Amino acid sequence: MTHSITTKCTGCTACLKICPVMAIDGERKLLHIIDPALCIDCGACGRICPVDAVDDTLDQQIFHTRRTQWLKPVVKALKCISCMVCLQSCPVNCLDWGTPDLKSHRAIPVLHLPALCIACEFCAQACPVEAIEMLVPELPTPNQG
Amino acid sequence: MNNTRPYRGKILWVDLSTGAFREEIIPDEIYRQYLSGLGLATYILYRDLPPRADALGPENILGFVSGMLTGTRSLFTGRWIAVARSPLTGTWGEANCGGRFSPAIKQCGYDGIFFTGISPKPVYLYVDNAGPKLLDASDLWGQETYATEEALQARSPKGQKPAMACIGPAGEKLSLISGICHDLGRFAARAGLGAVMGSKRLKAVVLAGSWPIGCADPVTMERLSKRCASYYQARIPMPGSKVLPYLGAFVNKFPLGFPIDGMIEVLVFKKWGTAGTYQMAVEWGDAPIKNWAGSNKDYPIPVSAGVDPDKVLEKEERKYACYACPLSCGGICKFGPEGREAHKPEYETLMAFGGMQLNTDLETLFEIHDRLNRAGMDSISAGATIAYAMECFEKGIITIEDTGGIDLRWGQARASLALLEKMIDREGIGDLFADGVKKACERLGGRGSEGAIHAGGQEPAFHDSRLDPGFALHASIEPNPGRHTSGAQIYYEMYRLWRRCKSLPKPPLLYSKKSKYHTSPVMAQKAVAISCYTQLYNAAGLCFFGALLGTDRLGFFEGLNAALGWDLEPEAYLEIGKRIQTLRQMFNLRQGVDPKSIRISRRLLGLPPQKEGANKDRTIALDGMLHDYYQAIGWDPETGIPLAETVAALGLSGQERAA
Repeated sequence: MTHSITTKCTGCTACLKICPVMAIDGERKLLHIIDPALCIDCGACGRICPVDAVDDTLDQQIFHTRRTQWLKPVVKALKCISCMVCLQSCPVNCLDWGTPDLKSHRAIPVLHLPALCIACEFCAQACPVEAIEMLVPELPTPNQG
Repeated sequence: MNNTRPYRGKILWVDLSTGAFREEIIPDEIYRQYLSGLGLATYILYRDLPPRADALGPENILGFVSGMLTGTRSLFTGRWIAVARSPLTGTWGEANCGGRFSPAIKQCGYDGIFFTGISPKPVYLYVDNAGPKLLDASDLWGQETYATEEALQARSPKGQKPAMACIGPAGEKLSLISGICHDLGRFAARAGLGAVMGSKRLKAVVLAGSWPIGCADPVTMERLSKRCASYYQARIPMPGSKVLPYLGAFVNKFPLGFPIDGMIEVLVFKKWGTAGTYQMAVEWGDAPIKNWAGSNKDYPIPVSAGVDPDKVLEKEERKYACYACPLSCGGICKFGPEGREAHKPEYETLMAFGGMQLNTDLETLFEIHDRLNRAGMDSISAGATIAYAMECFEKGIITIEDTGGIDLRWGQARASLALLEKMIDREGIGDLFADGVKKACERLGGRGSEGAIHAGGQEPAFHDSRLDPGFALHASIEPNPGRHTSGAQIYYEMYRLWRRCKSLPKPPLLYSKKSKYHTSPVMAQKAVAISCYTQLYNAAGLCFFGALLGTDRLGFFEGLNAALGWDLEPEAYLEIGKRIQTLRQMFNLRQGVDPKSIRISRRLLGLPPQKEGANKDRTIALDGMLHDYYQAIGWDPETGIPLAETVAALGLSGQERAA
């Protein structure tokens, strides 16, 4: 069972706009629905919903969080093996390679477009060596809101 | 999507003749028997490809498959495989590539994508979470690979970074040595599968799905990956590359053989990539010189120093790692006066156009490498074919009039590039050589056939069987002949299978080098184990370089159980490998290929033996090795046809095509 929208939905379209795979359909001020065939269970709809109208895969209600408080990936340089798994797993392509180290020629991923990050944690879950930690940004920049 | 299962349980069929799509649900039982990746592809092609299918006709099936372990937090498991009946060899054809295409297949919701038919006009396949679409590629037809990928990226939705595989002009012109390009210069190069794609007028496959990939036991997988990564994170200081040829010479001169540990590969590849082995291989006797007829005496250290790995490294701007790779053997280099970017050339490309042709001009080798990548041509086959052309030129079989003024003497790197241009364009004499050495030799009326080096029609990669006879054996017995990654005696030492399979013998610490050249039951047992393991790790999507680290350090069998939630013994997994290997052999028989017709060229067997150099006076008794291999794997020792009892024991009876 994928994420689903309950009857509490007010049709504000916030979820429709943030869904990275366009799995949500609905008209303004009308109940929205999630297409289970398209949903990737990133949970962004639940976090953005102002009226807590989204249930997760276990039918548990997801509560709204201010977007400035959403967890963001922080790559731990000493653990990272530069294997690209996090970049490939990101559904919104907000990660990209950082500047390569002059000596080793290795780069590690950085949160290149923090405004796009939806806090799905796919990158942290996919990382083979636990090199990504999801943290609340300390100093949110204006474009993160 | 099931997030506890590493496979999708379905494949996509695309009929290019009609533009129709069909999803096929694959029963769990098939994954139990074949895993995914190469295993699934073998099952599908054997089941559905008609006998004696025209490799460039509509009936041929071109498949792209992901690996079972891809996306499960495992390491080294980002390999994808293209499969079809090979137009180059007429046999089972497969080509293996890294990059990020393998996870992209699964992220689109499939374990494999299979094409049939021929499109009436050039098309490309685009798949995202919403499903597949065939789109017009008329404007891309004729474009080089880099331009194609850049154009397709430009027409993707903003912010999207799809994974792509495409062909260049070589594939479009049905060169039998053309490959499939991915990520601006990674290649599924072998077996001529670029021509199969070209014959179907399929310019590219673009994958933009984003479904996460499951794993039954991610905690165990993470533990295994951390352990594996620790071998690569160790900071071991390395000397400059100047010592490497002397290391190769030492191993060659040392009176006894000894097992080679995969950690050597870790250290060399991590710093230089595969180019790091260049001079070492020459002195060791692993590298072929002058179209396999010369030796390290013809290409001594001061000469081969033109391709000193440190010089290659000077051009590297940053490392390139495939998906899930802790090694980063790849790199992005800048070369030429304009500072053009290209992937770092591999050992095989450098040796194909370096030692094989006595070239040493690194800057021109970079140009050749870049040209091959843009055109979509296999560097191994192209280099070997030009080396053959040079031998023909030396013998007067072709003249400067025939070549259109190209002076094809040994060591003329610019001449190599000029002939390559003609091969890509199929212009003049280039057309004669554009389909590999076997076809070229036929077109020359069989003249110079002793220098047309191939196994079953495919040019072997540049690892000398006179140093390691396992290369000759596996190039001759594998259903996809002429491949260097299929097997070799040294691989047995590096795979360390005996650490997990107690029935397999541990190599002695020291052994007589002469023992490598004569068959024995133990040697056949090892060769079969290598074959089975190779098929198995190709079903898992594992990189060959990961396998070389050793199955115990990698945690390969434990990883399969963790990903799948199974509890199989390593021997049971090797049985899956044997099933895949046997079914590939049955595929060849179905396609009318006589296993005994596949033999590596006599020159690589030391017939006649070399008179000097690292492999002086070494000859290989191949027939006995073939006999013993066939017997050990359960195929008829005389004919190479799988025995009925073997077929039955592997559950392969009744796999005939339903139609």
